[in-house]
Formats: sequence, C-alpha cells, structure tokens
Amino acid sequence: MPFINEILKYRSLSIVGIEKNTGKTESLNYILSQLHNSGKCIAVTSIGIDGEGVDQVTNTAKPEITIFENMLFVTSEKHYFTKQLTAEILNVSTERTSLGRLVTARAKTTGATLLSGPANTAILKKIITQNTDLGAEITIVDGALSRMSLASPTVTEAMILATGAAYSANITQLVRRTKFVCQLISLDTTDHNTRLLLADIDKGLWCIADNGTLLDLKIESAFMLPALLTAQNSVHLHNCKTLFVAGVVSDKLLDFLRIQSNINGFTLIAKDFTKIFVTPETYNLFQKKGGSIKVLHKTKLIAVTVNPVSPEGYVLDTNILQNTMRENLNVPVFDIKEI
Amino acid sequence: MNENDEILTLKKSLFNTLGGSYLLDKLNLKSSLSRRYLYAQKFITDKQELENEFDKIETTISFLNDKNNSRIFADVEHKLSQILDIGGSLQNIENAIILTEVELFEIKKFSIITDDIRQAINSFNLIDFPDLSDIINILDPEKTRIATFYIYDAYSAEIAALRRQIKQKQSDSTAELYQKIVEIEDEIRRQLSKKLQSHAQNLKISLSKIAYLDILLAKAKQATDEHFCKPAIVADTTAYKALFNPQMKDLLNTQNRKYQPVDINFGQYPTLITGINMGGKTVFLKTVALAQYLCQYGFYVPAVDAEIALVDKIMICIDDEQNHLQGLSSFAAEMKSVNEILSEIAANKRLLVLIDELARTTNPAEGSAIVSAMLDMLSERNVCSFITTHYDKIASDCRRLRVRGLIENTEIKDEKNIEQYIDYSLIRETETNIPHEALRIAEMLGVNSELIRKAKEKI
Repeated sequence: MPFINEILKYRSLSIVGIEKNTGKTESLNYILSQLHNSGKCIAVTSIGIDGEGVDQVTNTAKPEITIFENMLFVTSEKHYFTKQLTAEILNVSTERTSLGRLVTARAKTTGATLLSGPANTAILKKIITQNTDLGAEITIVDGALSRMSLASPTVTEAMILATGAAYSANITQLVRRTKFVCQLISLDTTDHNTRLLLADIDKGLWCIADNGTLLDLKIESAFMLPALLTAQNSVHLHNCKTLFVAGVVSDKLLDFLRIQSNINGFTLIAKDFTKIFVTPETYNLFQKKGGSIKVLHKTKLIAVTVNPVSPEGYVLDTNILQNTMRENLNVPVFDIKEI
Repeated sequence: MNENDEILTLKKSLFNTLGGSYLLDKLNLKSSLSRRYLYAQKFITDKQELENEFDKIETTISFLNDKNNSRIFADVEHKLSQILDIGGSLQNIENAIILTEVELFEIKKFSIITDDIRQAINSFNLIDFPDLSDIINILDPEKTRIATFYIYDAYSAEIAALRRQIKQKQSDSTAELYQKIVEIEDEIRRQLSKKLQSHAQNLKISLSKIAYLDILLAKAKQATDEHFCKPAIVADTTAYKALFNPQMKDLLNTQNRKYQPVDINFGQYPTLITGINMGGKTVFLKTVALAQYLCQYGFYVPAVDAEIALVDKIMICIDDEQNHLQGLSSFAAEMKSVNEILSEIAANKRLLVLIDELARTTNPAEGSAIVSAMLDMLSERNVCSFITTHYDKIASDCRRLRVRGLIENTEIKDEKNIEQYIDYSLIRETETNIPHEALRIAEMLGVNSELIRKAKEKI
C-alpha cells in the first residue's frame, strides 16, 4: 500500500478519528498488518481508554487490535491480563491510569489485545521516548474519542485522519467538514527565525514587529479579550501585523480581530493546529478580510481514511465518497473496508 | 504540641514544621519507595545506634568524595532510580496469593537490580544485602539475566509446543490453543508464587536495605552540600559552634543577604533569652529544635561543630497559626501546652523544652510572674530548656542570655535589610532589665513618626 512507506519515515504516528466510529481501529489494524513485515521495530499504544470489545457510546462491535510477533505494545494492566497472545513484559509504569499501571511488552506470538494508554499527552510523550529506548523505530498511537490533542506535532510527528458516515451521512457535508479539518492540519508554518523566537513562550499574546522584535501585550489568554485591553496595548494590537497566540485560538478571537482591526495582510500565529478551535464560517470570514493563520509546528498528515458505514446503519456509496474526497483533499484517501 | 504517639516517626513529628520538611524535600532520593521508609524513621534515643549511623554517613561521604568511585556511585544511583516499590507484591506473596505476570516481572526486575547494586558496592562494606540469586534463578530460567519476564517456554515443554503450533499456524483454532496456554500459565504462576514464598523474607529485607542505601547516599550528599557536621553524642552539655538554620540561610542567600550563625551551649537547666524585636529569638529556638531532631533521626546537623546530649522528647511551644485553628485563644492554647510540658517533666523524661515568649498575650505583671515561676520549676527539675521573653524584671536566678542587638553607632541607611545592623550572637546578660529598643526598631521600619514621637514622650 502506498502510504505505508510514508509512515516509516516518522518516529511517531497518531491515528485520530474525526468522530467516534469513523473506522480508526480498522485503520490501525490495517497499518499494523502492513507494517509487521517491514523489518522495523514497531510499537503500539493508545491514549485514554479505548479498544473495548463493544463501543460503550453506541454499542456497536469494536474490533480488537492485532499485535504481531515482535511488536512492542503498551496497554493498561487490566487489558494486559485479557490479551490473546504471549508477550514478554519489558516495563511497568509508575503512573497509574483508571485501568491500572501501563505495561510495556514485546509480543512473542501474534494475537489480539485491547489497547488502553495514558490519559494525558505528557505521559504519552514519556512512553514514546521509552519505546525508542527499547528499540522501537516508530510508535503508533491509537487516538481516543475526539482527542485531537495527541496529534499535536509536539506529541506525534505524523497522523492519519479517520473520517466517515458517523461524522455526517451527507457526502457533501462530510467532505466539506473533513476538508476544513485537513485545511487546519495543513496550515503553513512560519519561517525558521520566527519559530526560534517564539519557541519557549507558552502563554500570552505577543505582537511581532516587522524587524522581528517581540512585544508582550500582557494578556495571558485570548479568552480575556477585550476585558484586559488597555488604551495602550489596544494601539499595539491595532498596528500589529503579526500576532502570536500561545494558547487557544477561538472563534471569539478571530471575530474580535476582524471587527476591531484592519486585518488585511494580518497574520495570526498559533502553536499548532490542535490549538485552533474555530468554525469554518468564522475562519472563512477572517480569510476573506485578508487575515491568515500560520503555525509554529506542523503535523504531517499522511492519509485520510473513510468509513462509509455509520453506526446508525447508513451506508454511503464508497466510490462517490472516495472520489469526492480526493477531489477536495491533497492527501491520499482510502476506504478502510476495502483496503 | 500534640506528640502523644508512643512511636515518634519522622512523618508525625513537629520536625516538619521547623524547616525539616524543607530539608526532606531537598533530599535527593532516587527511588520512590525510599520516602516511605524515611517517613517511618523513628526518633532514636540510643547513643550507640546514632553513633553507628553517623559513622556510616562519614564513611559514605569519604567514598563519595573519592573521584575513583564516582562512576560506581553514578551507576548505583541510576539503578536505584529504576527500583520499583514491590511492597504490594510482597504482601501478596505472604498472603499466598498467586502472583500475576506483572508482579513476577516486578520481583524479577527488583531482584536483578538489587543484585547488581550489591555487587557494585560490595567492596565498600556499607550494607549487607541478602543473596537473591535463588529468586533470580526461579524467574530467569533461560539465564539471560535481562530484567524482563513472561512465562518462559523453559517452564513447560507443553506450553512451548502449543506456542510453536500457534506460530506455525498448524491449527485453525488459535483461540482454543491460547486458552490452553493460559491454563498452563496459571498453573506455572501458582508454582512460582509458592516457590517465592520461602524467599519473601529476603525480598522484604532487600527492599528496606535498598531504601536505606538510597537514604544514606542522599543524607551524605546533603551533609556535604549544606555544610552540615557530624555530631558527637555527649552526656550533659550540648554545644554548637556556628549553628544555622538551613532554610533561613538559603532564603537570605537568594536575596544576597547574609545569615549570621550562632554559637550556643546548654545543659540540664533553663536559659532565659531576651533581646530586641527581630533579633532572631524565634528562629533560634526553632533551629535548636531542628538540630536536635536531625541528630536523633540520624542526620548530620547544621553547624560547624556539634556536641549533642540526647533527649527522650523535644517539646516546643511556639505560637503559630495552628493553635488558633483549634479554636482556643492563644493564651489558652499556650497554657495547655505548658501543662503538657510539666506533666512530661513529672514523668521523669529527659526533655528539651523550647518556649517562645511565654505568656506574652497577657498583662506584663502576671505574665512575668508566670515566666519566673516556670523558670524556677525548670531549674528545680534540671530541665534542659529555653524561654524567650520581652518582659522586664523576671525574678529567677537562671542563666540569662541576650541577643547582642543593634550594632552601636551605626547609621541605618537601608531599612529593608535591617539584619545587617543587628548582631545576632547571644551574650551573657547580667541586667534583669531588658533592652529598650522597640521604638528604635519601629523607627527603622519607617512606622508613623507621630506615633513614635508620642510614645517617646510617654516613657
């Protein structure tokens, strides 16, 4: 398959579902089945609780993950004891999850298991580093329900986005909404110097002058706008052509900027796409007025997988779905039921 | 003052409120299990036990200072950081519960790392570790000596055959085969757990020895880094040269200010301390208590030189917010504390008693009478004790010391750093009248000048 070789270029990959039941687990199983003959050492884990035999939200059957011989996998104690394969324990975490500590093991035989992982990205990062130390060349992370945060380039380098009828049963709408997510993931990065300049800032709003000087607006978060705006920093904000937002970029912020300032030629810099929570409508208005958004770090979007079946039983025409997706997206698109 | 527990562990003692927790937090422990052991440390009153411990710290410091050993100890510390607390698994072995694969892994990993540490520091004769090779042999049938674990093929020919079948896909019923494997694995785990039972004691001892080693190394490092000294245990008179409060010293250092250490000796009698406000009397009491606790919990002490007479109990009465939280007025809380002290004295315990500004919240006439009476009782009963006061005319012939106070003929230029104009050393006081420098200090602090002028007129 085409995107398998692409995956192997990265040290970590997340598989994120745009919505529950978009076929994330099938995507993971497919990738693992393709990777196990690659000659590389592969590690698999998950974030949060996932991989239950039955999906607890919609009650539909959920496939278990098949781990192939010699792969590393990380799962909670509870799920480790119900695994259907023989494995050698390599490590046990000091951190606890609701399902016990995290067990890292190497598969001695091929078999199925349920995956559960750390509840937050900080521990996940530690796990990825640990896997590298244990010899893994890539760690693949199964994302939990609407947890886009793990796809942050600070956590995983590359991602696969799973979308499908569960997100919308209308092909036009499904494609439009998926396209928007892809658009955010694919936002351009800033130049190298700006990235260095902003690398260690983790809160606040900052104006960047043309000569590269930084000005702290002394507003900790965009949520505090306009309450914290003083006469002085208001002037700065109006004259500023490049604004760095270390935290979340919201609809409210984009609207505020659009209405209060002349944003023609204005660039807003976010940390990465996981910090951007805006609707297509607001973003389009912002763009129309001449504003643009860039990011400090970008995740590589390797492919989009589609699941034409929704949990309610809708089945979309997979050919039309795939073709429309391909026409609109700049990345490879696959139906996970067909590959 | 609520130290009624018979076994006074480090966690429960007032040590923590005196700046002890500051030192514990700075203690560079490598394993998470060590803190649990450290908090269970008992207050030691046995001279020999303490001397052995101090000798051990001294030896450890000399090992750590020898550059030839630095790689060995760096390696040992790295290994200590990998130690898992197997307390729960040990409990399960003792209760004859069949261990899970994860627990067996933990025990194997613990045993291998402990054995590595034992070998690394064997030549130093610091700690005797039990031999864990039997345990390692049980859990490492393939003799790889790698700290990983599963139910190895070597445990059962049957399991090996079944796994081969799964691998070669000789059967369509993988699920059934795996079920059989699990059943055999369960039986093997049962046998392994039983075998380990007779070694539980050795594991338990190893666990405490590992924690002890971690604590010993951390104590030795702290002693060096903080310039603590090895106390000599003496019979009667405690004597400190350049006693200091580590937390206060660090705090002043970060502000580029200087801490003045204090020389002090004291025996089985009360000492009355007077001196100006801001003269460091409360910090002095706390530091004396802290040093005594450190010594009797087996640490080096914050001084250049220390001779320490052991006590059975340290009793402190220093007014802080905690008293008020108990719903008592400050006077009531204080009197309750004093009463407790007196009943402990009656029980013939050897005490170190430290009372800050006794009866300060009441009128000076009765207040000074209470102080005098307390001093008399402490004197009659030969109690090693300190009381600080601002009251005049204390009628007692006890030893009196005074904070030397404001350095004479100095012009105050920097009221924010008053400590540079104060000499904190304790000198013998011959007067019964206490120094009157409150107004001068208030002036230095920039208090309303009208108030000061009017107050001066009223003296």
